[in-house]
Amino acid sequence: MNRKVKFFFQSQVDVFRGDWLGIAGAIILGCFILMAVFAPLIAPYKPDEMIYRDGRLQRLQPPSLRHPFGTTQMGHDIFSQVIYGSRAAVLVGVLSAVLVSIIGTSVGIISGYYGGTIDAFLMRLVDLSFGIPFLPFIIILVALTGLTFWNVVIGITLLLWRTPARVIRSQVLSLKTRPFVEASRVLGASNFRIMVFQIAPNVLPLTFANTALAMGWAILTEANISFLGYGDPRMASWGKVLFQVYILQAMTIAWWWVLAPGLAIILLVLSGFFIGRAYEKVTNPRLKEF
Amino acid sequence: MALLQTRNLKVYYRTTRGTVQAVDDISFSVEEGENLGLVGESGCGKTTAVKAILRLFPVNLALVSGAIEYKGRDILAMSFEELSRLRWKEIAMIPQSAMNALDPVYPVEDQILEAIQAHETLPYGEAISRIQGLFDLVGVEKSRLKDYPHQFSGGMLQRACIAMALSCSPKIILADEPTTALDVVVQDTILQRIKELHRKLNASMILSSHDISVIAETCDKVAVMYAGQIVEYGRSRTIFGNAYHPYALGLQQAFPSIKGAKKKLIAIKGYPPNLIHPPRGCRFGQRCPFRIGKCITQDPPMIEVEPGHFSRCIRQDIVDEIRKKVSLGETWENVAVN
Amino acid sequence: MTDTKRDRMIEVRNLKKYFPLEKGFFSSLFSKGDQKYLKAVDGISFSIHAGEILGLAGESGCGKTTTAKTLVGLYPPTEGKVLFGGEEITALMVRDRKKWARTAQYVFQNPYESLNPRQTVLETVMEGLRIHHLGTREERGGMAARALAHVKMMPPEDFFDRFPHQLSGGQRQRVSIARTLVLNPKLLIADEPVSMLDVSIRAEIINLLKELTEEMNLASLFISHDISLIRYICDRTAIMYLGKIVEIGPTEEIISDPRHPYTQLLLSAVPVTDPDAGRVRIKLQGDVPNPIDLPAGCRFGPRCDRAAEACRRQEPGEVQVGPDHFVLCHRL
Repeated sequence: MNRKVKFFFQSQVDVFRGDWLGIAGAIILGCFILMAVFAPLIAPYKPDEMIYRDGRLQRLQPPSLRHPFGTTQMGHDIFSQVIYGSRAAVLVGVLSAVLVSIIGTSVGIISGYYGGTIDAFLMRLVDLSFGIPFLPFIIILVALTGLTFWNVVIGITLLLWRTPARVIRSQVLSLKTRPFVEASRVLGASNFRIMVFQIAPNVLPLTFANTALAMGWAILTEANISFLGYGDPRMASWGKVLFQVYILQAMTIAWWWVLAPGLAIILLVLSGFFIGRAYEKVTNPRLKEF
Repeated sequence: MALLQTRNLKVYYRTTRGTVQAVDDISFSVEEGENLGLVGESGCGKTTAVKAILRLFPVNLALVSGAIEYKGRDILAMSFEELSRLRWKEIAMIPQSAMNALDPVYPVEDQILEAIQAHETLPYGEAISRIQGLFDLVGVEKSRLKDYPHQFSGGMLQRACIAMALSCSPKIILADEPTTALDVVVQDTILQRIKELHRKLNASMILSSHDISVIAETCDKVAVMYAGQIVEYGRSRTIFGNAYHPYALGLQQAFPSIKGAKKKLIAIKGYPPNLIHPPRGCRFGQRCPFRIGKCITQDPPMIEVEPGHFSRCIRQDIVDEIRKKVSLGETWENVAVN
Repeated sequence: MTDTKRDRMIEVRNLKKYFPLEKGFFSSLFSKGDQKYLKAVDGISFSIHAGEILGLAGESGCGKTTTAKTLVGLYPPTEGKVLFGGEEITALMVRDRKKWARTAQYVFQNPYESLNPRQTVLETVMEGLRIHHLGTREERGGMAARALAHVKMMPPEDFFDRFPHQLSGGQRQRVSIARTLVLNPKLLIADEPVSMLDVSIRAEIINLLKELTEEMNLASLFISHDISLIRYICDRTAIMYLGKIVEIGPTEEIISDPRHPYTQLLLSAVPVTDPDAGRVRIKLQGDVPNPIDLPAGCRFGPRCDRAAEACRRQEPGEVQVGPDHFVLCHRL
């Protein structure tokens, strides 16, 4: 068992070998996760704390040593907002990505393995969900069910599973014809057993690729939702920061207010994509080595 | 002067784990009208060697050295123009899997036409009649010319590829495992064709295969390859009757035969060495029942054991004993492979 | 085909496996033609006794793999009977595939693709035990070790944690065999088990199969297109052509005295290593016919050098040419 675990981790490390972008992505993601976990310890202020100095509200202060990213119109420290905002981003990103992967992979495996009517039915569901515009759907859902963090996650999950489902299904279609699957059948394995023990472990790299990519999408979506004003008002979020700038139309006077959260979003989303790319390369047939 | 002569050819290529010494210092020659067979198992380097003759190297080529002289001119040193004139017109190739060598979206006739027109200026009408003649030569009905590759059977496709290789009347035909993917009856048909063509056209052939009986039946000269090197080289008759090298002898013992008494089939324990870090001394040493200390410490040279017959084994002094023992199962079973 | 009275293990009677061919959309709308079938196996009969290896030889497309897969339960037979130990088990083979797996097992051709790349050797070998709930957790390791020892992978524990890509082709094939042995099968089907291995190591696997057949009193079916290999290991041989067994009998007899024209053709086509031994080659007419559109009468007729009128009109019946030797031909 130990050996298998070691092999598993070793193969994850192998994915990133030589892929600088992938490594960068992993590091960035790691930093943001740490940021999210230790936010109260790192952030100098609370995100919605109005900061006074010498009795004066520190409005729209440009970046300085005391406020590396400057302050907002309401005297909030943007640096702290970015740090606390990472929590929403990472949480939504990781949670949605995991849920999307589980659902998408399961559907993909079942659909690809069984074929026939089950496949047809599930793929029509996928087609249906592709027809639904992503952002508007989530906005409407959230508007109807309430502006909470969880509803955003549910909204994202309800649609994003469609891509991994398709992709995994393709790979399962080719996997199920490989001799080792037939060998399992000859030994007497049930369909369930084959799907779980033979097929699933072999689509794992693809699943990870999709997870990382889904994470990127989820974070971007959460930022979008918050920016449009439909985010959870109680949670600090990068999108919310941008929302506030936009409402006050302060982009031109306070460039730092836009830059910091914008950069954070770009970096985290990119990290998801780079990691996904690294895994995608692995799933391509490799050249046989001597 | 030999028609084709390779001298100390080396072809190395890069992989993520290191540089593979796929072909490591081989030399052989082919006279006009002569057939040379390269025989060996997977990873021995025969395909790399054959492709090197036409300068078909993989993208990750790390090193190529030595010389491949065709009519005295070194192919490796030629300019690209000179090489293009050589390819197909002087030296042509029948690739390993004919099924994959032809483009599935064009009729076969068009593809052979393309081969001809790329190397010669021949008016369309003449080219077509030449192609028809070739199909006659290889034994495929002319009516199939306009068909697509997927409409041909495996054997017919291989014959179509042979026709394509002959289309510019080359002096040397390279055949890389020409019958490996084919059934035995079809294989036989192809081999007969190849021999017939060889007689009619007096072209030379370099054939690579892992099947020693195919090589024995078609080739005048044989080079037995192992781990990137030639371990035995000489006339077919002598190698299949009186080989010197334990690997060559072992290989023959590992082939079951239809004719004659049912002999004991032996297996050579172990597997070929890693060509990224080839072992010191004899590369077959690890698996050889007759190794001695010197075999592992020194690289064995090619020794001319008889006129025109070479073996890369220093133990030719006990060759009679070796020949007797290779047919016994215990000889091979008792090898201590590390 | 009748056989001498011995303890029969596996008996196959008139086995047929047809695959319906899908018609194109338009042709099924407009044409009223009959459903076309690919008659992969078209009425074959043979038996394999315990401790015996039967060879099944033929070229690609003759139906040997389909026969094997039908026998192991992967395909339901279209017609025919399979008997095991005298009892008919045709229906059981399909209905209760899992139970049949305890009796009939299969070794695949491609050692590089028949092992799950993400399972260790131990997991692969133990899979059969897990599926059939054999042995307790503690016992399974021992059972797997014994199977690996049986296929000469010593010491077994060294191989437990290895993955397929860390094994050579020969080793992979041994693992493939070991995983069938844990179920203690009575019938072992080996489908071209060495054709993808280097020549110099084939004998290991071949000799292993022979030993296992004898030791475990298995009925073994050895499928190969390489007749010289079949000669080496099989006690009896069946030659297949386009879904039919055209000749069956003791291997040495078939090789030294082939009676069916196709067998003679097959044997004459095998290249021989001795450069001096001139082969007497039989001239071949025509190409392999389309298995979907079979010719009327004897299916080897179009390529046969002694086809007569009778051959074109009627399919040949079985003729006994020796105590245990049968041929499907009009022109003997």
